Amino acid sequence: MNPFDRYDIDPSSPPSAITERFRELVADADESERDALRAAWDALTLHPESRVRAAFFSHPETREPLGAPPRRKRPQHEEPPRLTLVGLLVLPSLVALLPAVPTSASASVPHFPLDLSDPALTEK
Amino acid sequence: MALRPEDEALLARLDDEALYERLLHAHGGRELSPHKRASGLVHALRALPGAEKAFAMANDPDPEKRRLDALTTLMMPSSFAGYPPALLHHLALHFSRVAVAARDKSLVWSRTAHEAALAAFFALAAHEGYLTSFVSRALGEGASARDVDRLASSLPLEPLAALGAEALEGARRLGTETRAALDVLTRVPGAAARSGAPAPFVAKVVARAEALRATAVDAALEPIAQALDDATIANELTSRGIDVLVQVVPVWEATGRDEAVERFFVERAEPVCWEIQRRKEWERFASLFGSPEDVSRGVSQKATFRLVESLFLRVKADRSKVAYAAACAQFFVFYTNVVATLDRQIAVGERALDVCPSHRNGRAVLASFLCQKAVRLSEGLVPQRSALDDAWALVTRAETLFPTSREVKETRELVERRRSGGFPRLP
Repeated sequence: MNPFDRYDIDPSSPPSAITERFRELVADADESERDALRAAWDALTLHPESRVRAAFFSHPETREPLGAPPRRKRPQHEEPPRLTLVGLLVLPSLVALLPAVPTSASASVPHFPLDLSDPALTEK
Repeated sequence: MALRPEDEALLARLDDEALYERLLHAHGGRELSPHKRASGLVHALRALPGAEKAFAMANDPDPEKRRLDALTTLMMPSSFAGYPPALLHHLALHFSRVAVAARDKSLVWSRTAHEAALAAFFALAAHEGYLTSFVSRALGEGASARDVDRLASSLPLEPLAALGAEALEGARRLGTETRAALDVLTRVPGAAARSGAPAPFVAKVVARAEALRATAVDAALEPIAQALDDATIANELTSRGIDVLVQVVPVWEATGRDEAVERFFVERAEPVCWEIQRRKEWERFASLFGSPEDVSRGVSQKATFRLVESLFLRVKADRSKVAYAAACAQFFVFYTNVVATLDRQIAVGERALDVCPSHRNGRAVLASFLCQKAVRLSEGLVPQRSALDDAWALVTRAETLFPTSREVKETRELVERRRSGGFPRLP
């Protein structure tokens, strides 16, 4: 298959544009495809006559240019609530108003001694 | 809401892509997948005169009435003169692809597409500005003007060179692809004429195609020529030589009944025929030429005399081929050894003189046959007057053909004697 068709390159592109396109392709390709891409790049950029020949036997770009896509509409921006003096007040901490929590958590946990007669615990 | 111009362009491009896909599938088969750039062909077609109607037919709102015929006609005109170079470039590539894809389905359509592709390439060759600009862009900065010119002039002719290479590569096997390539090479004059290119370019292309075809035909005949040389050295011209010459017929058929093959046969078979005659192995003429029924029906693969008949028609139609007139006449003389009756021998002799009236051997042989018939008409104790008149006319014709012949003189004396009431000479 013609490399210009296979890799979707405009046949009238200069070597620099071809290299740029292959750079993109290599970046997206996995390791197994990279060797083939490098070989195709070599053939197109290192051998000018091969490049011209391949370009000639690929459909030229004669379509009308499409122009710029329409600008994207931004999402509607909502006005933030108006800032008032009340909003600037530093309110007291609610945590401080809660009853005190014991510092040692183990103090509130009941003690259950191990049943050493349980064969599962004594099994070696 | 009104569409922006950019959106209109995008929609038009999508329409073109869809229409090009339909065209490609209709021309080359549904298994072909179109390249998006190829739809530029459809865009370029819109600028042609008559395109509006063709596009209206192709995009008829009623699916039952949608037809691609008019668009196809625009794509395959009788002349590409006036077509813009970008469209020619698209058409050449489109029909090249179609020709290859159609090869396994319809040879006729494949050849038609190939001819259209060649015509478009040849037409493109006349647009030097387009080609030079294309090549210098693709070569990049720093390309020499000499390289640009060389490539710009050679690229549109590369498909022709590729055809020649394909024909030459398989010439000894003469497979389907080789036959197709040889056949397309015969269509080059038609394609060049359709291109609308200047006459010197057309002449150059036609000469190139003929040379490529001749090279391939020579390569196909080479093993036969070698085998004939071997048979000559082994002094087996009338046995092995005949078997080898019969192999020329399949080559002739495979090359589209090429004139070069007929000339090869005439040149190489003549020594074989003289050797048959020298050895008086008359039955071998039938082995070489085929029976008259085979030749006239034209179905036998071994009836080599069909090649002589074909060359005879060429010489009759075009007097510039007169160099082969004497050879044809001599082969008709040889062929008189194959036909069974005296009347048919006379008819074959007449054909020899038809193609070459001054052929000495032909005149002598025909005069002899005419005398034999005159003698038969004069035989019997009391021949009819009308038969004697016919005999007299025959001997008179024989005399004009070969006045110094002793047989003619004796026959004349016999007929004269019978007309004056004399009896035939006793054996």
